Amino acid sequence: MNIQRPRTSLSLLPLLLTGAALGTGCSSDGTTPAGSASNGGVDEIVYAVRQHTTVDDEGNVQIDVAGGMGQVMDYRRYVPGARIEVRNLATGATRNIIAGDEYALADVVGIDVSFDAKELAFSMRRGGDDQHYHIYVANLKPQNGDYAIRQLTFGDRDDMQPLWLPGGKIAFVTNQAYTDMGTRADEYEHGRDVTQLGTITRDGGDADRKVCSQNLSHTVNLFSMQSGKIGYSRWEHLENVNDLKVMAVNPDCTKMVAVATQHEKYWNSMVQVQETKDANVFIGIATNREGTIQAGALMKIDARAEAAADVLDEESARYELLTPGVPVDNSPSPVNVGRYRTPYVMPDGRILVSWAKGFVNDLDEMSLSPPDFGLYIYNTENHTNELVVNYEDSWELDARPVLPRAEPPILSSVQTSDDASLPARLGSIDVKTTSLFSLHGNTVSGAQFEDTPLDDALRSATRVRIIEGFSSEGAPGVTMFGLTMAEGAALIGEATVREDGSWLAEVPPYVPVHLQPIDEFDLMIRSQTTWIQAMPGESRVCGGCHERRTEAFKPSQGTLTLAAADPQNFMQPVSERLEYPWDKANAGKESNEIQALLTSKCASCHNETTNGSGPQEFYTVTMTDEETGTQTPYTLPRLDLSDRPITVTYDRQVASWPASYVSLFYPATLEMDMAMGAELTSGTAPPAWARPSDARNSALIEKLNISDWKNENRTAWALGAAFSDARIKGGTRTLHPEDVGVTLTRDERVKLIRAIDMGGQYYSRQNTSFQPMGR
Amino acid sequence: MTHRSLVRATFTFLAALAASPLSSAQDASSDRASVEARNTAGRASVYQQMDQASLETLSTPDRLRNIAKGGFAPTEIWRTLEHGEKVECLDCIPAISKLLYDGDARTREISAWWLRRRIFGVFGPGQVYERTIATLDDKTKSEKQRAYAAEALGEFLSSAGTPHVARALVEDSSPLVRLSAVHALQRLNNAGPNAELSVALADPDEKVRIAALHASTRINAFNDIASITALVADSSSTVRTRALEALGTLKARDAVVAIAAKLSPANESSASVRAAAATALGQIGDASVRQAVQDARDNDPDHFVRDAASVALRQL
Repeated sequence: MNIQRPRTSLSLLPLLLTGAALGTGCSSDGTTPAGSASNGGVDEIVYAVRQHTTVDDEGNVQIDVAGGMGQVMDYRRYVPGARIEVRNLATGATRNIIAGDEYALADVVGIDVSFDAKELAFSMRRGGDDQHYHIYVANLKPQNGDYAIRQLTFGDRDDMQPLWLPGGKIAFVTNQAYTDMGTRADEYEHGRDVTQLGTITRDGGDADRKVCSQNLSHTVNLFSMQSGKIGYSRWEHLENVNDLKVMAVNPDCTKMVAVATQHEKYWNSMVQVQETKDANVFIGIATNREGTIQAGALMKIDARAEAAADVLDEESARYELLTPGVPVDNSPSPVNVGRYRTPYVMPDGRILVSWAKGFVNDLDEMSLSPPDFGLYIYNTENHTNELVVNYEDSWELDARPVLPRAEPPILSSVQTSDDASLPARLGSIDVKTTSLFSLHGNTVSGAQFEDTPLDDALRSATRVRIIEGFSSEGAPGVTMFGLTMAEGAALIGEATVREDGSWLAEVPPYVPVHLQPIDEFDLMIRSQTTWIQAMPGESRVCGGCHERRTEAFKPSQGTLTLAAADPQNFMQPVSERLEYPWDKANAGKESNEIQALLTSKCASCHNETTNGSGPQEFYTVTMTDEETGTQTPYTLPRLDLSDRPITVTYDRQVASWPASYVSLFYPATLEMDMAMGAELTSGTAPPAWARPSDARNSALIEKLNISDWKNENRTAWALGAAFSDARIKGGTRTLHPEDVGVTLTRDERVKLIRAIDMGGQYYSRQNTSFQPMGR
Repeated sequence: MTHRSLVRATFTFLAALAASPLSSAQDASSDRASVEARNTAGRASVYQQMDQASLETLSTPDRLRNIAKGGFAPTEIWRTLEHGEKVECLDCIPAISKLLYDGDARTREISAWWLRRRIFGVFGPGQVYERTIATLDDKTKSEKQRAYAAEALGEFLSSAGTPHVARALVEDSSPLVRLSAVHALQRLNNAGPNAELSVALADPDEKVRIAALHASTRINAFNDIASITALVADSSSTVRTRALEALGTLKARDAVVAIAAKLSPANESSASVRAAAATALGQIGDASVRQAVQDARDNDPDHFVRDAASVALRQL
C-alpha cells in the first residue's frame, strides 16, 4: 500500500493569524502576534499528525474518517503514515519523533507530555507485523538524533490514549480480556471489544500492569486532574440510556465518581475533556455519540461546589457553550463554523484545539471530502480561531504544550490485589436519602405510588437488588436478549435494608452491576441507570440512593451503620448466579425457568385456544415487501402463556419465541411502534403486559397482584378497585389466578417480577452454551 | 476507490443535498415533545424522567426503508439501523436484507445486527436467514456473495448457522469465504462442531491462519494449544508473531520450550517474532526461561525486542 503523505503545509508563518471565521464571520485581526511571550511561555507544542487517505498500488483512493469505532471514540481507525511533530512556535521548525523507516507505516492515537515536559507517552501501531496499538515513551528532545523510543506494553490487545500519572505511572485504555466474560462487547459495538482503564509504570511497563473494574461499554479520553484522579469519558449504555458522561477514578482504580454531564444537559455526549487551571473546571467537546467524526462544540464545565471550589458537585455543574453556532448534535455545521476536537488549555488559559471547517458529519463521507482538522488557538473573547498549523491532507490532533506543569498529588494506593475471589463491598449509609426528587423532580407511579416523590417512595425500600450486566460476547447462540433493549442480567443478590436505611453487600469485583431498591412487594422503586463496579477488596458505600453529592452523611444510629456489622455475602461463581432464562433452561437450572412456571400455573387457561374463561383473541401485524407487494401476516394471541413456538423454526434449530414471551412483551414494543404511526391490520392491541425493567407498570403484574412480604393481607394494588388500564379484563382487581382456583405462590410472583424488572430478557447464560473464558 | 466511483459518489452527495432530507438537521429541529414521546413510548416509564439527551432517539420506519435505497453515508445508515433496534418495522426487512451484501463491511454487519433482532420476517422458512444459508452453500454464487453470507451468519448469532460456516471453513475453495467463515465462528463464539477452527489454523492461506489465531483467543472454550504451537514454525512471520501472542494470552505453559526457541536471532530472523516470544514468556511467567530472556534483553540487536525482554524479565 502506498501512503499518501501530506502535500501542502499551510503553516506558512510561525503562528499565522488569518483566523478562521466563525459564526458571525469575524476575523482575528488585532489579536496578538505570534511568539513565545505571547504564548504564555510556550515555546513548543507537540501533536499527532494522522492520516485519513491512502492510495493503493493501483491508484485507488481510500478515505477513512469514521472507521475503527465509528462512534465518538476514534481508535483503531488505522491509516498508516502518522507523525508526532514537535513544533517551535516562534520559528515554525518541526521535528518528527517517529521519523524513519521503522515507523513509516505507523499510526498514533493519543499522546501526553510528562509533568517535567521531558518525555512523551503515546500509543502507536507500527504496522506490518505489528497490528496492535501499544504504549510507548520517548524523549521530547533527541540526543544524537535519538529520541530513545521505548515500548512499554505488548501482546494481543490494543492499549491506547496514554495519560501520565503522578509517581511515574501511565494510565491508558485497553481492550484486554480479563474476566470470565472475556473482552466485553457493547451491543452497539456488535463484535468489537470495549475499552477499559488500565495503568502501568514508566519503568516497568506491562510488568506493572493493572486493569480496573469493568464498565459494560467503553472508557475513553483520559485526562489529568489536579486532585490526582484520572478523569475520563464513559459510554453509558444501559437499556435505552446511550451517551458518554464524564467520570473520574483514583489511579489505583478505586473511588470512581461522576464528574459532570449526568444531569440537565442538552447534548448527548461529552468527550475529550481537559481540566483548566481551575480545579474542577473543565473544557470538553459536546456532541452526539455518532455521526460527528468525534467533533463538536467547545463547552466549559464548572463542576465546583458552591460552598467549596475543591469539591466536585456533578449535580449542579454549570455549562457554558464557548463556540456558539457549532452544533452539539450531529447536524451539519455551517461551512465556516465547523467543529472542534481534542482541546487543551494553555497555561494562559487560551485553548489549543483542533478544528475543521465544513459539515464535519456524514455528509463529508458522501462527498468523499474528509474534514481537514488543523491546529488553532481558540479565542474565547471574539470567537475566532488563530491558525497554528494545518496540513491539507492530514489531521493534526491531541496538541499539548511542551512545558513543565505541576504534578498532582500521589493518591495512596489502597487497592493492590487482582484476586477476583476477593469481594468488593457495595452499600449505602441510608438508602432513603436522595436528591433525585429535590433537584431533579423524579417521582414514582404504579401500584401503591401515584406520582410519589422519590424520597417518599424510597422509604418503602426493603432490599436493594444488585444486577450484573453482560453482553452477548460470552453467550454463544444468543441472537439478542429477547424483545427488549436490556443487556444480559444476573441477580447477584438482594441486600436487606436495615432499620437505619443502610445496606452492605459483598459482591464479585470487576463486573458491572446496577442497583434497584425494591419495596415490600418486591417491585423495583428505581432502577439505577448507570453501571457501577468495584475492585477486589474495594468498599464503595454511598450516602444514599443518588444522594446530594456535596453533603456529608453519617449513620443515623451510632457511629457505624447497622449493615456494617453484618455485610451480606453474594460472592458466587458465574455459573451459580441467579438468572431467569425464559425457556429451555440448561440442565440443573430448570427451577428458575420462567416458561416452566407459566406452563404449570397459567397455560392451561391461557393458550392457543382459550384465554381465561373465553376463547383466545388474536391481532394481526403484516409485513409487506415494497418491491414485490407480497404481504406476510403474523397473527398474535392476546395472552397465550404456553410454550408453543410463535414462529416456524428453521430446521428446528433457530430458537423461536414461545407464545408466552411474545404475548407478554410484544405489546409494549408495538405500543412504541404505534406511537410512530404504525397500525395493526386487524384486532386490538392488548395492554402492555410486561414492560421491560418496569414490573410496577406491567399489566401482567397488576393483574396477578402481590402481597406485602410482611403482611399477606396487604396487596400492591388495592383489591376491588378498577384496573389502571381498561384493557385488562376481569372487572376489578383481585389476586389472580387464586380467583379462578389456582395458587401462585408469592415466590412465583416474585420470580415473574424479577424477570421483568431485570429487563425481560429471553436469554441468559443459563439457556445458552456459555462457558467462562478458559484462562 | 476508483475516480469514477468518486465522481459518482460526489454526484450522489449533491443530489442528496438538493433533495434531501438532511435528516439529521430535521431531527435537530423536530418538536421536543414528539422526540420525547418517541423515546419513551412503550418503554419503561422510569426513563420518562431522564434527560432526553441521554436516551437514544428512535429511527422511523420510513427512515429505515429509505436508507436501503442508497444515497446515504455509511454512518447515517449505521445510525439509522442502530436507533431502529426496537422499531418493529416488518416492511423494512426486505429492504434491509439487501444491505447484507453491501460493499461496506460495517453496513453489512449492522444490517445483520438489526435483522437478528426482528421477531418476525427473518428466521421463518424462506426468509432472510434461510436464504443466507442457501447463499453460503450455493457454489454458483460469487465468492464475495458467499463470503458476505458467512459474515452475516456470524452476525445473526444463531447456533443454527454454526455447522454451515464451519463446513464452509473447511470445504469452500475460496480463501475469502474461509476467512469470513473464521470471522463468523469467532462471532458465534464457537470453534465448530468438529473443531473446524483447528483445521483453519493449518489453512493454506495466510490470512485465514491469522484470523484463526485471533479467534482462538476470543472463543471462550478454545484450548487446542498444540495447533497454535505448531504455527510458531510457520513460514509467515506475521503468523509466527500472532501464534506467539496467542500462546501468551492463553498462558500456554506447555509451549514454553517452543516459544523460548524463538527468542534467539540465530533461530528467528524477525524482530517482531522475537519480541512476541519475549512477551509471551513474560505472560506465562515460567522462570525456567529467565536466562534466555535476559540474554535477549542484553544482546538482541533490535531495541523493541530488548524492550519486550526487559518487561518480561520483570514478570519472571
